[in-house]
Amino acid sequence: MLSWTIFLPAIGAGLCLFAPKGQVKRIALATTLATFVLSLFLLPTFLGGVENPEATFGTRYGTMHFVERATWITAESFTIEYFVGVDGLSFPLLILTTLVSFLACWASWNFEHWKINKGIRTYFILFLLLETGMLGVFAALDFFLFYVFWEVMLLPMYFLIGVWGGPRKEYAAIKFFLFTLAGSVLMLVALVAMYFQSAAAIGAAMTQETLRSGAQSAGIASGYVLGKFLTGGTFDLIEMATNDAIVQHFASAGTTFLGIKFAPIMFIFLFIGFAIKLPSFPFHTWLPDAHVEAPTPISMILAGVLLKMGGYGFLRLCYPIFPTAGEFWAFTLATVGVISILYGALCAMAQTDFKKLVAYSSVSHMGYVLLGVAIMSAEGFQGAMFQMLAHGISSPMCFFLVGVVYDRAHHRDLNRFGGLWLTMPKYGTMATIGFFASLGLPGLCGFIGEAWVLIGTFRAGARWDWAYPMAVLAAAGVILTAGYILWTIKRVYLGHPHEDPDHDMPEATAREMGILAPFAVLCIVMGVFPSQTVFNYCNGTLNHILAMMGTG
Amino acid sequence: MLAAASDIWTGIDIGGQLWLFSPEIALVATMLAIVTAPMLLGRGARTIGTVATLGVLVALALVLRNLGATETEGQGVLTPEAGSGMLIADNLGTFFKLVLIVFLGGVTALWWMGSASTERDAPEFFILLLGSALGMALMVSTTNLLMMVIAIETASLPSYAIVGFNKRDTKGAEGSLKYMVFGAISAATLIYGVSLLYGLTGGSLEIGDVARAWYAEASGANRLALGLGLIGLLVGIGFKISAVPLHFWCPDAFEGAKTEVTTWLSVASKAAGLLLLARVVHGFTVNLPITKADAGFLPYWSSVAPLAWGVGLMSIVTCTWANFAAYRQSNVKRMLAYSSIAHAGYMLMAAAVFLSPSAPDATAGMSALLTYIVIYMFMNLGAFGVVAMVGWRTGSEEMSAFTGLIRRAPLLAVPMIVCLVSLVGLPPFAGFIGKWWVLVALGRQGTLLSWVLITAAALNTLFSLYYYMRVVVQMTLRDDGRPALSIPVGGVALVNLCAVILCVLFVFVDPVKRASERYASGLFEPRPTVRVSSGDATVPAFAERAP
Repeated sequence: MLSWTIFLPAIGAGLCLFAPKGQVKRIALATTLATFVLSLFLLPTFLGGVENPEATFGTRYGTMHFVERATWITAESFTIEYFVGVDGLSFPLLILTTLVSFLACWASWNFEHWKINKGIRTYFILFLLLETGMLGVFAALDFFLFYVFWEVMLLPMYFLIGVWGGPRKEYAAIKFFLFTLAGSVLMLVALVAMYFQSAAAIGAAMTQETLRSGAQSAGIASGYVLGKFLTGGTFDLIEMATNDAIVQHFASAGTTFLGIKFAPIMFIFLFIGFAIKLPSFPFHTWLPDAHVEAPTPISMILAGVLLKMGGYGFLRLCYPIFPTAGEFWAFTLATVGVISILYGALCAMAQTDFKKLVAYSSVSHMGYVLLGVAIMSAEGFQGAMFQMLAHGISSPMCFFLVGVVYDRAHHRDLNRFGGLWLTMPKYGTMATIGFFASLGLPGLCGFIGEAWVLIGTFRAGARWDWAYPMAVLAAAGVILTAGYILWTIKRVYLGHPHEDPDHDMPEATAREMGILAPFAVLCIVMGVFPSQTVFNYCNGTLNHILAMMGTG
Repeated sequence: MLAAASDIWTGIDIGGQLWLFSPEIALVATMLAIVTAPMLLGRGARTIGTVATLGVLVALALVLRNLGATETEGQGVLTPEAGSGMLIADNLGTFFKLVLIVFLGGVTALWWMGSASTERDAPEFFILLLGSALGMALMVSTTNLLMMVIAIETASLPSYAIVGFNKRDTKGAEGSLKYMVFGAISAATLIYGVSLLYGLTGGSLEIGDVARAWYAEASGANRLALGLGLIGLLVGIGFKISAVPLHFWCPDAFEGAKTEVTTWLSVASKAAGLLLLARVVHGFTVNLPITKADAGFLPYWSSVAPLAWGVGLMSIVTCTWANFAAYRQSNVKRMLAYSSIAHAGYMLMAAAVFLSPSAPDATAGMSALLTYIVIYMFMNLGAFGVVAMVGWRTGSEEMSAFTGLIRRAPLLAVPMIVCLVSLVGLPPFAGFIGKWWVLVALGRQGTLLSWVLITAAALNTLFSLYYYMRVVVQMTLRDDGRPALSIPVGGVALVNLCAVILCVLFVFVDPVKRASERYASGLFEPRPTVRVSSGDATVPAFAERAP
C-alpha cells in the first residue's frame, strides 16, 4: 500500500500525458486527493501507539510498518533493495506531503490566469512526478533508493521554477539545482564510503563469529552475522543504525576516510547535503531566490515539504548512524542553527517584498529545527520534529496568502498594501491565523516547536556551558519574529486601504478559502493538542534514536 | 608450461578458431565489396549505403555467433611462426566488438537519415568508416606492442580523412589537419616508446614482458628509460582517448566533422583506446610480483604506484579540465566534444582501479568500464543524433539553433533533455548507474587514490551540471518564435529509442552489469614469455586459463 501511495502520483502523471488538455487539471487534483486519502490509511497503526507504544514502535529503533522490500540491483554481490517503510519519523511527514501536495495542486487551479499559462499538461505531469519523488524520499529505507528519490525531485522542481517562475526564474532555478546537487554529491561520496565501511565491519564480525563458533560450524557461520545473511556491505539504513558491528566500526577511531576519522567526516558530508536543503546559514542563499521566483503552488511545496527533507535527513541518517559524531559537532551545529534563526529573522525584517519576507522567515524557523537536533535531547528532537510539521502547515499557508494578494494586486511590495482587512475580512482572518501561527503565538502550532527547542536548549546547559547563551539568543529570535510579523500585519492588513486605481481587492474566492481553511484548522488544532496530533505518533521513534545515542 | 591445446594455438590456423576473428574479416570483405561495387552497381549513395549496411549486419551476425564462443572454444591467440602472440580473442574483445558493431549500425542509421540523400562520395565515406572500425576492433584484440601500433594507426588514418571529408568545409579541413598533426606526433612518440621497451625487455613486444621488466628494474638507468618508454605508450593511447593534455585535436575535429562522424569518434575511438589501456594495465596487474599481504609501502611505491597515480591523476585532470573548458562553448557540438573528453576521464578512473595490489581481480573495474561504455554509447548516440537533426534542418549547431526546441520539436527536445541529464549523471537515467559502478569499483579497491578519485568524480558531476543545463535552458526556457522543425520519422524514433533505453537501463541495470561481469572475467592474461635456454626460439606460455 505504501508503494501505491508513492507511485500513485506517477501513475496520474502517466494519465495526464494522454488525457485531453481540459481534463489534465482534474486528473491531477483527483490524483493528489486520492494519494492524500490513501496516505491517511497509514494513520490507524500509529493511533494505537498511544496506548501500546511497544507494538507500534518496538523496543528499539527500526520497527517499521507497511514494509515492502524487493531486491533491485544484485550484480557484483550488491544488495540494493527497493525497501520502503514508515515509522513515527516518516509517517507524519508523508501525510504532510500528500496534504500540502493536494492543496498546492488545488492552488494551481487558476493556471489559465497565470502570466505564463502555457504547457498545462507538462506542469501537472512534473508536479505529480515531484510528489512521487518527495514521498519516495520519506519512505525509502535503503540509502541508494533514498539517494535516487532525492535526485529525482531535482529535475521536475528545476523546470517548475524555471518555466513557470517569475522574472528571474532562470537564475533561481539553476541556483536551486546547483546548490542541491552540491549537497548531494557529498552524499554520493558518503553513500559509497559507508557501503564499503559497512562491508568491512561485517567482514570483521564474520571472521570473529567464525573463530568463536569453531571449525565445525564455520560453514554455517560464514555469511550469517548477527541474525542476518549478508554478503558484503549494506545500504539498509536501519541495518546501519542497529547492527552493532557496523555502528562500532563506523564510530571506531581507526576507521578513516582520506585520513580523517570516519564518523565525523561522514556526518558532516551528510549534514552539508541536508543543511543545504533545510536550508541553514550559510547554505541558504538559494532559498530566497527559488521561493520568490517560483509560482505560488511551487513555493508552497518548497516551503512545506522540500525543506523538511533536510530535517528528516538529520533524524534518519546523521544521528542514528553516527550517534557519536553528533556530540562532536553539537556546538558547531547549534551555532549554525542560532545564526540561522537570528540572521533569517533580521533578513526578513529588512524585506519589502512580501514573498521574500516569508522566504527568509523559513530560514529563521528552520534554524530551530537545526538547534533542536543539535542539542540531542528529547525536548530538542521532539521540538524539531514538531517545528518541521508546524512550519509545513504555516509556511505553505503564508505563501498562499501572499499568492492571493499577488493575484489581485500583481505586485508584492509591502509598502504599497494597506487595510486589506477592510475589503477582505474573511481572507484577513485567515491571514492573521497563518501569520500568528508562524510567529509562534501560544495556542497556535508555531509555538510548541519553538518552546520545546528552547526548553531543551536551556536544559542542555547542564551538559554544555555554551547552551545557555545559545538559548538566550534563540529566544531573542522569537522577539525578532514577532517584530517582523506584526509589522507586516500592520502594513498589509491594518490601516487605510492603499489607493490603487488599477486593482481592486475582492474577497477571497471559495476555492481560496477552501485551501486556507484546512491549514488554519491544523494551525489551531496542532497548537492546542500537540500530543494528540504529533507527539504521540513520533515520540516513540525519536526516543529510540535518543536511546541509541545514549542521551535519552 | 604449455597450455591445453584448446586454449592456444600457434601458427595461422584456418580452422574453426578463425571464426573468432570473423567480424573483422567481414569488415574487410565489406570494404572490398564497396571498392568493387561502383564498377558493377554505380556510385549511388543508396547503393553503396545498402552494401555497407549489409556488411555491418553480417558482421553483427558473426559477432553474435561469437558471443560466448571463447568460453566454449577457448581463448585464442593468433601467433605467427616463432613469434609472440599478435592477436588475441577473449570474452572482452568479443563484447567490445559487439558494442562497436551495434554502434556502427547506429551511426549508419544516422547516415541514412541525414547524408544519404546528398552524399556524393559514399564509397569513400564507408571505406574510411569501416576501416577505422577495423582498427578499433584490432586495438582491443592485442597485447602485443607492435600490433598496438598497427591497430592504432589503422584506426587513426581513416579517422583523419573522414573528419575532413567534406572538401569545401574549412572547419572540417582545419579539424582534420589538427587531428593529423597531433596524431603524427603522438604516433611518433608511441613508436619511440615501443622501440625503447623492445630494447629494454631484451627484444620482446609482449606487454607481460614489459611489466616484468618494469617490476624487476626497481632502480637505475634502465628504470628511467623504461619509464620513458611507458610514457610513450601512454601518450599514444592517451591521444586516442583524448586525455588531457593530449586532447587539443578533439574539439576542433569533432566540431568540424559531420555529426555522424563525430558521434562515431566520440564513442568508438575512445572506447577502443580505453580498453586498450585497460589491457595494458591488466598486463601490469596480473604480473604484479607483490600481493596485498606483503604490499608494504616501499614495494607498492616502487612498482605499481607510479602507474596507478599516473593514470589516476590523468583521469582527474582530464575530466576537471574538460568540464571547465566546456563552459565557454557556444557551439553545442563542440561542447559535447568537451563532454566526451570529460567522460573519457571518468572511464579512465575505472582503468586506474586495476593498478593496485589489493585488487588483483580486474573484473570490478573492467566490468564497470564496459557498462559505462554501453550506457555512454546510448547517451552520445541520442545527444549527437538530436544535434545532427537540428543541424540538418537549421544549418547550425550553435546554441541559438536550439532556442525553444521544446515547442518547435518536442520529440527532439525531450530525448535531448534525457540524454543531457544522463550525461550529467543524475538519476533516474542510466548515466548515473554508469558512474555509480565506476565509483563502486574504486570503493572496492579502497586505497587512498581511489577515494581521491571518487571525490573528484562526484565533484565533477557538480561542475558539469551547468553547461549541460545551458542547452536545456536554451531549449525549454527561451523562445524567440522560430518556426517549428520538421524531423524525419526515423530520426525521431532513433533518439527517442535512446532516451527510453536510458530510462529502462536505470531500473533494469542488472542484466547489463551481469553481462559486463561475464565478459570482463576470464581476461586473456599476458604473462611473460618463458625463454628456452637452448636456443633463441621463445615459447609463449601465456593464455593459461584460471582454474
